[in-house]
Amino acid sequence: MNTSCRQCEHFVTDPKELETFIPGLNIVSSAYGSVRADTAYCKSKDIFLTPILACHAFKSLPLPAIRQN
Amino acid sequence: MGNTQDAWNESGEPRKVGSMGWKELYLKEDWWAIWFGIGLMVLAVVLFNSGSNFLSALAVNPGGVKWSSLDQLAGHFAKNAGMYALQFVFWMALFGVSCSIMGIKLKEFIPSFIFLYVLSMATFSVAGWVNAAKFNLEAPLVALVAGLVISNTIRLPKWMDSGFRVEYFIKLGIVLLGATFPITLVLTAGPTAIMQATFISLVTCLVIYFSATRLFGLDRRLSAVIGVGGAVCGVSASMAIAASVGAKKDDLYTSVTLVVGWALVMILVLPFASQALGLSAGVAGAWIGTSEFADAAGFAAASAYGKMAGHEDTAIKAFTLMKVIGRDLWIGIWSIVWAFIATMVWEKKETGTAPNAREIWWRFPKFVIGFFVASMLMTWFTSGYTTDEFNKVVKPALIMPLVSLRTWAFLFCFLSIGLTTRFRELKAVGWKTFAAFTIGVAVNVVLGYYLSAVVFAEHWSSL
Repeated sequence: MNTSCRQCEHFVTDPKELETFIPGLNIVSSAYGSVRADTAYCKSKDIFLTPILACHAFKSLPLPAIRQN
Repeated sequence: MGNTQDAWNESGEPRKVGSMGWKELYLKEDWWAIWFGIGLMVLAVVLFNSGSNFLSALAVNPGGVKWSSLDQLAGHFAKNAGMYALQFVFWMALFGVSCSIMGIKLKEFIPSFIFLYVLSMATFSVAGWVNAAKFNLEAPLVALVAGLVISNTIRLPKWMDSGFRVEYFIKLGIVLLGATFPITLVLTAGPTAIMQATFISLVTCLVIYFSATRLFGLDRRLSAVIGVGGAVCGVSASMAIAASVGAKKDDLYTSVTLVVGWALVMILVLPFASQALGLSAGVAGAWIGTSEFADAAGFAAASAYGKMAGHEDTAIKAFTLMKVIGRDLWIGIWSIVWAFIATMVWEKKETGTAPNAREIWWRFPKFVIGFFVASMLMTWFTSGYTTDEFNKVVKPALIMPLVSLRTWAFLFCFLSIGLTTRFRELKAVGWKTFAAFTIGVAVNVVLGYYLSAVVFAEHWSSL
């Protein structure tokens, strides 16, 4: 299974979370804008990146309920 | 924590790595600015063709009252109470629906936007005082200062930021601006703006980067992030490049403080400096376009000076050419170049983003498409009218309502800048980082002035 940052618990990609995470980001910018594209933050490695294939620090998000049934 | 639903598809398999795809059309504010901006323009044309002045009535604001007594102001509100109520519902519906779809909670957005709308009315009212211009009480500056005072004294709850969507408001305003911006002007003045802006951006970025790394020994990733922050388009550029070079959270946080701090200084200083130097509106707009870091802050400064000089439209047009067309469009290329440098020149790392030409599109500020479309459509629609017909019929009935709606969007933006700027939350910045950025700011401002007010003065003055 080709997992990536998107399935990782360390990956902060929600715009509202990003704007809370970086105080002041929403003053003259926005996490909801096109320029941000898929840029997000990895809490494990403390870096910004666009999603890539899972690294050794990968920690899976829970599967959606439909899968668990 | 990431969004579980977005991470896995319906079969429980991981969603592919890649761009957002079609979801961007309703999850990014750029596209909402396009849908609504073009939609309002089309509505304006339809109403104009039918002889209706509904949009003109809907776009009412107290800024044009020029009241000399409070009774006069109260009379204006009493007379237009119904329209203001309808206008409020219009803005609330437009922004509320789109923000909700983008994931912003309505229970936060609604009360926050009510607060913003009431404050906007108050700001317009101040600017509508007959003596406002005498005391330089221009709406953008009043909005910014009022917002700053409120956010740093009253301590509004953080959840209210949900309604203070700075970037969304300015993007809608820019698309609406396109409807009053002849495409012929973009084609004739655009190349000069691109050339001037690109040269200044390159010089400024290199000055900041090499000051930071060579003079002050700062980390190269931090230096790249603050370099583009000061040279391209502020925090948005910093965020894009942060991914390209694998910057840390603190690097972006530092850039936020530097960009916001200097952007606020520029909003307040540049209009008065332009006035003291006796610059024409076009020259000042161009200078502000290369000196300001963010569109929202730059429009505040350009609009303020434009009102001071009595040619707001000219100042805004010059600013738009220089900043939006000259700088914003190229962020994708900056991303690729820095990604190349970080991964091929500095070191190859496990993480970090390899250069990908598709970033030019992924990171393209899509709202600019709306600006161009609005400009082309309106230029085409009005091309059949004579100059006399345009001035007497088209401008008051079709163009001015759109200008007024744009003015509202801009004011929402300027107030939101102040209301979201909480100085206590900004990261303290080390003196070396501050110095490196400031050297770049100085070079940026001086070079921008020289090119706008000396080398290309005739070009910008003739706008």
